[in-house]
Amino acid sequence: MTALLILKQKIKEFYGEHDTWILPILKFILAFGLFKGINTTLGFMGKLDNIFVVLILALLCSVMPVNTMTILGCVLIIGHCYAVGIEVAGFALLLMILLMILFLRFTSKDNVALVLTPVSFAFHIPAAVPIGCGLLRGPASAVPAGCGVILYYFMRLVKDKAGVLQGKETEAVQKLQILLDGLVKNQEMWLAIIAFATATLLVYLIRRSSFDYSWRIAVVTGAVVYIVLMLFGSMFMSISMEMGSVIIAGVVSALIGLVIEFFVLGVDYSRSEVTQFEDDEYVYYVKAVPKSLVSQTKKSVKKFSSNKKSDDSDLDDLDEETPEQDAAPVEHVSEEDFDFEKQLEESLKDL
Amino acid sequence: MLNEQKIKKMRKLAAYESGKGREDLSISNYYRSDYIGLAMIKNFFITTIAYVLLLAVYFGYKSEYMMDNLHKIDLFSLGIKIIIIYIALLVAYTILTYIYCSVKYRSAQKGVEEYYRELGQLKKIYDREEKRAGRLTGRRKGA
Repeated sequence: MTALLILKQKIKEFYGEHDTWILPILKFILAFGLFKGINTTLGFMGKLDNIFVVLILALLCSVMPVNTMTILGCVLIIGHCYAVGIEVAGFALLLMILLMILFLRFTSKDNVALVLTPVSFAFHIPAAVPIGCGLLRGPASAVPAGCGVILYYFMRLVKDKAGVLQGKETEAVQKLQILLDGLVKNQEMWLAIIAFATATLLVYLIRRSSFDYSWRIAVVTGAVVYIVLMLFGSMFMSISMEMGSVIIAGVVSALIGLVIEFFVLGVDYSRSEVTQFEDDEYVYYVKAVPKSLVSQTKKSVKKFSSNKKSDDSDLDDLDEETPEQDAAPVEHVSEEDFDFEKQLEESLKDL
Repeated sequence: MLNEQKIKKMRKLAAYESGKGREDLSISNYYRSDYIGLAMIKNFFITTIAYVLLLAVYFGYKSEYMMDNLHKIDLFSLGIKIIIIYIALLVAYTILTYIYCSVKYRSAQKGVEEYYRELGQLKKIYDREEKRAGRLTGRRKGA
């Protein structure tokens, strides 16, 4: 544990020193994952499904605010939808405008969850988003996370129905019906949204509590609730879902949550103190939990050279240099050559 | 000599100005009633646009059915339904906007108050430094 705490402190110090370039790199990685994920899922437009386009866009996002990533991601989705059909692109645009107007305009600070949700689905760890949102943000972040779920299932729908949607014999109204039915009647999507919202709210509520290990309990509860909701929901709604992948996703997400807890909170509950005092107006119940910190000892390394000769020569050099450095501008006369009596007589003559 | 306290304050103020403060200061230019009123007007238009889009999608989706059964549909009751839903949506979003803007305005006010307090403290530090410098050089104010 001590080694982990030292590592944490080192990482924090390193981040503090180099945050000017670490943050853009992290943004670049996130943007790259998002755009690559969109291209892998959709990838209908050849010009956009290009590693250089993804790199340029990710590079752009690394120096811009996070919301740029959201906008560029939406543009990329619309671009791929356009390759499927102009009606599909129109529907995608309409969907995004509606999401923006109805939900996302109230949660502008939490919209990174919208970007993270499709990425987490691509990595098969969707539960990491509600757990992370509940730990780091507020309950409002459930809204962009839910919108992210809608976007992800929309992309999947376009991918699955691309053959029908690209067909020339399919009319525009039929395409609209396919897309709308595919979204509104997609029970898996609604189940995921409910699981996301419930997990986010629960994690937030529990981690705000003052009891010991509240963050860890919140993480585990969030993961368990997510798994239970997805499994029982899929049973009742008769949705085919891989039980193993849902459980693994929950467990991995819980581990990610614990890592977040370690880095963000990191307190030592064994040394917590509870005290009670009062003034004229209030009674205070105070619980103080110390942070887990390890004092690092700075190691200073002294080098001893085994080469005596070189040391001696160095000292000789010093002896030779010292008179030159400290010498006053007077004439140097050896004591043996100096005649004190003569000098005394001359000075007496002057007097 | 560098005044560490002054530099810390200046850094804090500069970080606020370039981050959260930018939005807070623009919000605090308005009176509360003006800010919320403007947001309500914006909300009216935005919600109307969203409702029109939703209606377009709905009618697009049901277009085949409506074409076949136009003579059977009670257009008056349909119109009433559409208006009632519109009003309900508008009221819901107006309440939401009011709450959202009130919270945002209050938070901005708090931030700006703190910002001005810090600015006052910074000014005091400058005044103190100026006085000290004047005492050392023997200059007097206004001389």
